[in-house]
Amino acid sequence: MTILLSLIAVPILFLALMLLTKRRSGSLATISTFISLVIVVYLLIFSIINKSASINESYSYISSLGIGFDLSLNSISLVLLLMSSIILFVTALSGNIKKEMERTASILLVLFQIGATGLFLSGNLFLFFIFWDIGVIAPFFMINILGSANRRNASYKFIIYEIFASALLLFGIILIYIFAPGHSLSIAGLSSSLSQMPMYVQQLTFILLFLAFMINMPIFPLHSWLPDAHTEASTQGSMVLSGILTKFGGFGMLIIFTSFTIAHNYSFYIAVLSVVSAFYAALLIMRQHDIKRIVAYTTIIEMSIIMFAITAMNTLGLYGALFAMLAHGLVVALMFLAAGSIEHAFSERSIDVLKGIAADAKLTSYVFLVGILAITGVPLTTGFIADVAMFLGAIGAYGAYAVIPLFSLVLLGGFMYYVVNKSIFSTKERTQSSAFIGSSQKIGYAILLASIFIFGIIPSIILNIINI
Amino acid sequence: MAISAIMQMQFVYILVASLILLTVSNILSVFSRRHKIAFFGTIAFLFISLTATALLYASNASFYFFSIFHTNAFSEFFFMFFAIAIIMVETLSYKYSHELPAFSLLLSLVTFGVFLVTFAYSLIAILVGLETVALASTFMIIMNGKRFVEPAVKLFILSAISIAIFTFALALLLPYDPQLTLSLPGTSQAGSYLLGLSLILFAGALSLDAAAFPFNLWVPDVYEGSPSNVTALLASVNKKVSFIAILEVFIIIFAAYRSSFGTPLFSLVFFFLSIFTMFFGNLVALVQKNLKRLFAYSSISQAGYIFIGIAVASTAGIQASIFYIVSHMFMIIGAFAIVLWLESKSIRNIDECTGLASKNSFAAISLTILMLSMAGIPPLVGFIGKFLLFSSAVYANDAVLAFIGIINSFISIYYYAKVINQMYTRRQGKKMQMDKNIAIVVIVCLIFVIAVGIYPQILISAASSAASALGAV
Repeated sequence: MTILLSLIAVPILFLALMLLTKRRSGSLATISTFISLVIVVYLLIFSIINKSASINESYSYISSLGIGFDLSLNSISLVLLLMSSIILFVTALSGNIKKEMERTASILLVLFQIGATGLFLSGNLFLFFIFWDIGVIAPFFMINILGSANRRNASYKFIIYEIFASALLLFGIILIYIFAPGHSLSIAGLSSSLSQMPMYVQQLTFILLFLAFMINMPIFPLHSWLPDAHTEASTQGSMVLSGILTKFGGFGMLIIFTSFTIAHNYSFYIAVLSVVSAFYAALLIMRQHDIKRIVAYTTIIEMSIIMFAITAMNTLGLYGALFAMLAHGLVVALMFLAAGSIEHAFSERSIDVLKGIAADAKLTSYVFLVGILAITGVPLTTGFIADVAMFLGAIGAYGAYAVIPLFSLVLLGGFMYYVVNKSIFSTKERTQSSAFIGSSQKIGYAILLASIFIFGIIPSIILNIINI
Repeated sequence: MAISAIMQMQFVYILVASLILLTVSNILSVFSRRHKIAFFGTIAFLFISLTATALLYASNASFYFFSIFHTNAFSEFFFMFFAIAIIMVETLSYKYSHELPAFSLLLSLVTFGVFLVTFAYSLIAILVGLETVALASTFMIIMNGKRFVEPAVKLFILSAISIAIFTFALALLLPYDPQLTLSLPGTSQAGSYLLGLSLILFAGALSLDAAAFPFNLWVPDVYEGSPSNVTALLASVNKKVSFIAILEVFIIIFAAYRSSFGTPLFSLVFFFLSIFTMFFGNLVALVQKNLKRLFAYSSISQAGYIFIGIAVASTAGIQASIFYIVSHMFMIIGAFAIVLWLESKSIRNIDECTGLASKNSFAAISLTILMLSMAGIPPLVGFIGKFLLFSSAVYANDAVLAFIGIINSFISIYYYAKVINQMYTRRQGKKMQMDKNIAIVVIVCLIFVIAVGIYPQILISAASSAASALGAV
């Protein structure tokens, strides 16, 4: 079986093709992401039939260091892979609303596709690191080259935070490599190799990896790269940044919280930190006027709650966190697509200036509204299932106190309805250009909305194969 | 296929003959002043010597010849890569040197110097080789006109000082080994102060050449002042040759000379050299405005990374250093090739790179990839090299070195990002065409950086056999 290798090989081939040819790169990116989506859906159906997902492939890589090209698919990576391939396909299909610099945008998107697919499939930490950095470099250029007015500072901030994170990650991985028996970097065997390491190494490694993933997720106080990066990136950039890149950290957190036995010692403090982070972002969001920035802050809130659920360290909490990552990725991609469409139609992002856009851009406005409903966890959407599982898990670990972060979601919801009132359904003040929406974008909305509702109404598709 | 010793000796004869013919053909072309003859003659004879070395390497040759040379995996490995580097420099200079025959003649002298150093079995050969390389490159700088006198004199004086110290250090070794061969002088004198003084002097002389921390102030001036094709040679060949000398002198001769901590004394010396060199190069590079100075400081910091492996002084460390020396050779030649082309379009400062991506996207993308590789971003070769270096440091309980190295790669991303930022700033400008000879060199470097980054196994095992041929501690 080389199905996992083909998932990585497809974007690499398409990247080479796009670098060699000058035309039709947009369609090539769409085809590349579509092929991946088809393979992932096939893997999903295969796993549903078998009621579990587990495929391992191993190829020779750096044999003298004992590092192989190990790919492994388990339930966690399948769910995240599904999320990332849906988002990538929609991004490639409809994210480039302005149709400018199409070649650069498509090449960067396929480069990111390599990073994201490889990261979720990597079977050892060495590959994890390699794909992590590919996944960081591509968005850097998405901000730096394709972004809006303040893109330079934003991309600088982004790369400094993220490279610092990967420096910590690299140091942690080198420590594991040196101290693990047989220099094994295998992710599946991480907990058994950790148990044979001295305690101080375990603690140091945990702190290093935790900080790296914390920057990426991001959690207060290391979050300040996110609002700028998401706001200044192109629509495609914002979609993959908050939809997929922040899940790299979430994926890493799932790995370390299921592998390190010493995580118990820290979980309470991390839970407190993530609650603080959720409320901090919920309070900051009220001061925002830029519609993309508002959506960016919802990412911090949501990722903090996911972190909170992971610290519960019980089955329900981890299920919930994983499901919430799926839900949040889809929803936030939808909202950034809508926000990008609004920006393109009205050349304006400030909610103080935008008035009554529902009259001109009906479809986009209602899609944005559904996005808000889904992000606050209204039943029938994926967010609801995720919230229920996460908070039930958290209650199992922290008792009644676990509902505290729910109020940050309430704050978020309240503010979002204010936004809707103020700029979407308010009375129209001046005549604005008609907001034409291309058919590719409609398909994009449809795919994201459909997946939000399908996984919200029939969560058993996902929940049956999860096996943490 | 087993190749007999006689066959192997014939390869050596072919190698030496091709080097001599290289020089002779260039002398003839100097008189006839034909650029094409000089160019194609140099390339052809370098290829012959490259092939002869590759055949030697493939036949696992390891023996002594002409009583001061020996050939083994280490020397053949490095001579091959140096030959490739010199071919690339010659290709770069094709349209960019007005006196190509004379340049090629000097380049053949450099090749001869490199041959002496890599194949040396005697300290004298190393001394003569280093001197030849330094002198030839001094003339390469000075022959371009009056304004190049200053960097040339700087380089000349510095290498003269280095040679003087080297000679003194050599003299101190004489009581232990009158033949001055590259071998372990009897371990019984392990605690001798004379030997310790010699070690320190060797470290001083060679780190002057390799531009380690306190002795590196000449690098930016000389790099900036020289024409860029010579700078590419200085950064790739001159500097790397001194690393070969460092490896040969310290790993072989001073391996058993231990400090009071029980580790080899040279490892302690290079521990501090490495830390200071990395920090100095990176911190000063942060404020540079000139592209060449930026790469000069960046290559200083890269020398610091290479010292990590030498400081670790284990087989893994030496292997990592060898890997990184070769990979940096390609990265820096590629970078200076683009700088040479930019200079011909009168772009010298980082500010002037604005909008390069829209003027020539190939140059912008290649420079980006090369710089990301220098910063250690996977899946490029720089990352693999750094991973090897840092993991060898942690393995030898030198986690401090690994940590400082990682911090430094983090710092370096800032100034590389500065250049990248400028290049991708949107600005309409008319397209700039890149010359074919430069494009070829850049493509070769890019292929190396990406292919070895993705599949490093071959180079790692070659570096490992080179390290064991050196007789690593």
